[in-house]
Amino acid sequence: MSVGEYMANITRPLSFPSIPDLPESPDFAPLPTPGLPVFPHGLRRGGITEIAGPRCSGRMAAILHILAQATARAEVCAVVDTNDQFHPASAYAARVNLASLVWVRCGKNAEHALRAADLLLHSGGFGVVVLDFCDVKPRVLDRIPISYCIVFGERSKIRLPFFWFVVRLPRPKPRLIRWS
Amino acid sequence: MYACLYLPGTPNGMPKQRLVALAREFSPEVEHTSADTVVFSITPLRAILGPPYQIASEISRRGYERDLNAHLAIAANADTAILLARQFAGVRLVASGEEASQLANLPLESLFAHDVPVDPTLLDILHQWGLKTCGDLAALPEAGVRERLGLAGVYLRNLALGHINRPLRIESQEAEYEEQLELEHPLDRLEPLFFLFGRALGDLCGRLRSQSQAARILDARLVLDGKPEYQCRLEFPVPLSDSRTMLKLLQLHLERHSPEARVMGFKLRIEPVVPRRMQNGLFLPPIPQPDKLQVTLARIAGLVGEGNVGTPQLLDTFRPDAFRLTTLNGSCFEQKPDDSRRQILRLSMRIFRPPVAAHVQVMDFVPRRIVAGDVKGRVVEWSGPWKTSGEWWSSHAWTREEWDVELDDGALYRIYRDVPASLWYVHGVYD
Repeated sequence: MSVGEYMANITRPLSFPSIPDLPESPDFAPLPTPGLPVFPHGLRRGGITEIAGPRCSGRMAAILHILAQATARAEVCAVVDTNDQFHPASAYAARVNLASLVWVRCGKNAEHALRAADLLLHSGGFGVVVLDFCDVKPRVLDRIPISYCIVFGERSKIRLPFFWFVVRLPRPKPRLIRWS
Repeated sequence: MYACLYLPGTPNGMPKQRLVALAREFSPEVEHTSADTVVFSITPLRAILGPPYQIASEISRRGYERDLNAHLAIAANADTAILLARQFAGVRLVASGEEASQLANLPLESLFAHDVPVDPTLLDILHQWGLKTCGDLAALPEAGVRERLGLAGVYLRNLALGHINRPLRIESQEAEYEEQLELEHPLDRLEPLFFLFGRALGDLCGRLRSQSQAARILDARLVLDGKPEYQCRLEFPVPLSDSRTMLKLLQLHLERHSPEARVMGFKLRIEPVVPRRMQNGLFLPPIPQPDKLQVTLARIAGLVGEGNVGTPQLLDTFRPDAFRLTTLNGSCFEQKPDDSRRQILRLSMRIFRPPVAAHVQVMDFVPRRIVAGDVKGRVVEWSGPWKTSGEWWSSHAWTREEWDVELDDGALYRIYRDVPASLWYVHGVYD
């Protein structure tokens, strides 16, 4: 199996025109996301879900909505904020339970963000781990090794009750592993 | 069987400690009933010392050796022993079933001087009824006492009959959780120090667990060669009892803040608390293990800085983007699921930190064009200005005019003009 096929199995890219639906009988109960019609069956556990789009396309609103759903179910969630752009007041307004949220501010350092996300996944027990790559420069994203994708995919599968969201701007140039 | 030692006329202080010390010679479980009274169980001693009169003899002998002029009473229950010891000098032995007859001559006041507080007005009522002794009260029918005096009256009657059986109220000894070591040769590297820490923390945690306690604070002090003492205080959001987790947290802290000189010795002290008990459920979502999560957050803090990881907490102010990061506390592990449905997506914001300085072209007091880094374009819609100001008394004072503007590329931004400096900034983007 090629790396591309492998990643295709563990990722659920979110592009609004066509959303790959969940299988009929998922292994674990998905996180219900009423209000997000792009996920009619909720979000799959134990996998990576990518939410991408241009500015003002509702990426953050979707993330906060999912975090609100998860924290309402008493799940502990984490946001790894590469560019330090998370707005706690918006999260509160979206009814995210801030007491159940771990926020990691990475100060525009993508490598720190990847390592922090890796540590959180390795720790286990989180309902949702958000890795926010919004506004990260494409040349920085291009330098992210492919091995991270495989490690994250494996970890999110092993630490079963996981969602993973990779959020970033779309990139015009296609690549083997779809970070966009 | 219970033995009660009563030392009359002793205020708080040394006599009580001598009483407790004498009691502990016979039983590890001693109830400190009051400053002058202790009770302990002698049932296990029957196999060693023989019948109760021999046990009483041995207690008296040890008391004489310690020069303690205490009263001793032995009875089938603790309360009868206490009442008799406080009333009669010397040694008093009560066989099982004879409690009522032994207590019968005691004045009613002795029941009200007992440890369980009873409404003192009941004593006046009993005196009005013509009752003087415990025997008088015990002779009354229980149903009638309950009707007239309630549960307090029934308790007094049972006390007078010697029918109250209760377990002893044992107070565990306050333990000190402290380990210290002076090294023969100073250590200039941390690895061998961690090895010694591991052994000391293993002993401390073993003692903690044996007392059903957990650590809330770990205080480490290092004696340095020619430098002031190095102190490190780790406060755990969730109490820990695992030595490896504590060692890892200490290791991460010392790697971030290394001592300035060679280590000549150390002292570790743990402040104990009652450990957190939590009942998980089959249908509750899994949560991170508290000890593992603390290590993970400490590792991440080492990566991104201590102030950059935690739980966001909004501040009670109108200041824009006012928050602080706090350490994750135990409450996040005790959240209850909230079944209310959240079906509405709300407009959310992404903040630029620090705000991006912008060149704004203004016409007719309205921003028309913005250039700020990668944010540039013609303003097609706007809303504002929204004037805010506050905290003029502090260094966080702000005065600004905020605008929500839509650019020709469809993006929606919040910009503001810093009024005192007359400068424009892009504060964030709606996303």
